[in-house]
Amino acid sequence: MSTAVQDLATLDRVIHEPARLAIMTVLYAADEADFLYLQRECGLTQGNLSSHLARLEETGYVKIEKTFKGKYPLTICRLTRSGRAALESYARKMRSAAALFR
Amino acid sequence: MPPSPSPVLDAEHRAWNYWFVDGLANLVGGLLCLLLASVSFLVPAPHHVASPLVITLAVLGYCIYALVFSRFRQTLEWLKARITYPRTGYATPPYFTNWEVPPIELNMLNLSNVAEKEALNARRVREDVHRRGWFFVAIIAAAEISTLLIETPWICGVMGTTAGLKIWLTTRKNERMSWAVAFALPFAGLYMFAFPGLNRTLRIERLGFFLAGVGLVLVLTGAISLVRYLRRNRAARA
Repeated sequence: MSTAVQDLATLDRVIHEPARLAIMTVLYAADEADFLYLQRECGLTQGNLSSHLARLEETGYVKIEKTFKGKYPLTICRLTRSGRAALESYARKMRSAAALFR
Repeated sequence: MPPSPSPVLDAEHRAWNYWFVDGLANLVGGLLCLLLASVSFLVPAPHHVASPLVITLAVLGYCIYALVFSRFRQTLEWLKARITYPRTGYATPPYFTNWEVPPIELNMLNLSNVAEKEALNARRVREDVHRRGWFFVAIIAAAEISTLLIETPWICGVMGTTAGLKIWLTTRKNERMSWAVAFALPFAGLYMFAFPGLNRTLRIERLGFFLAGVGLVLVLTGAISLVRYLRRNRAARA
């Protein structure tokens, strides 16, 4: 059985990066969001957000879809089931990690 | 303003508020109320015969109302795609596309006992939102029905204005205020039932005064929100 300290070593590095954690948190709360909304909410530059989203998509945590709302082109991002589960697992581990410092 | 118990809850609140930030939801809802109010004024009083033109206009008004009401979200999204999304982006509020999604497990995202308590409170508030929604619909429905029996039309207008304020305040953060307005409505209704004469008749135009009150408040608040939103945000990609 793994200890809390060992759990720290197994933290998901994809989610552990602050910008990606912010993106995942916004997508966890909203059903879906586009590139511009994520950029404003997370306070990231276009290039930064783009690269982090690519990494999250590569890992299978985020699904990116290009579509239109009327004539307005949208890059819609949503969390996948595995992304949701990964964030919850990450939060659980962080919670037990926080207990180490009480 | 108390600090948010978790980043997820904060993001969720922001996503909900984002749906109303441009005032379009209030504006379209208000215009629908005004349309229905004008149709109610067209309906003839008992023992009066309406002209074919008036009947045609009333039926047409109802049809437009039914069409826009049934496609309310699509109408809003059509407007948002032209006004909101190019300026500040697109986001759907939580549980909007899929109501079957279970509520966010806040406990998981909190890191201390204090935050846990806050999270539990926040969850209770979230569950309460659903109950408030139904309670709110019941109050508005009761107010609408009671206006049919009220003798003085201006009081129906006042009740409508109160209901409009309630709707507007519900879409904002200050829930306490919206509760105060919500409680004002049934008391107003009780007053109406207790004091007017006993020979009441159903008068559909009274409902018109009520809906006109709701509509005017919603259109006004929606227009103010829209102007403020447009001033704050210039089109990023038009």
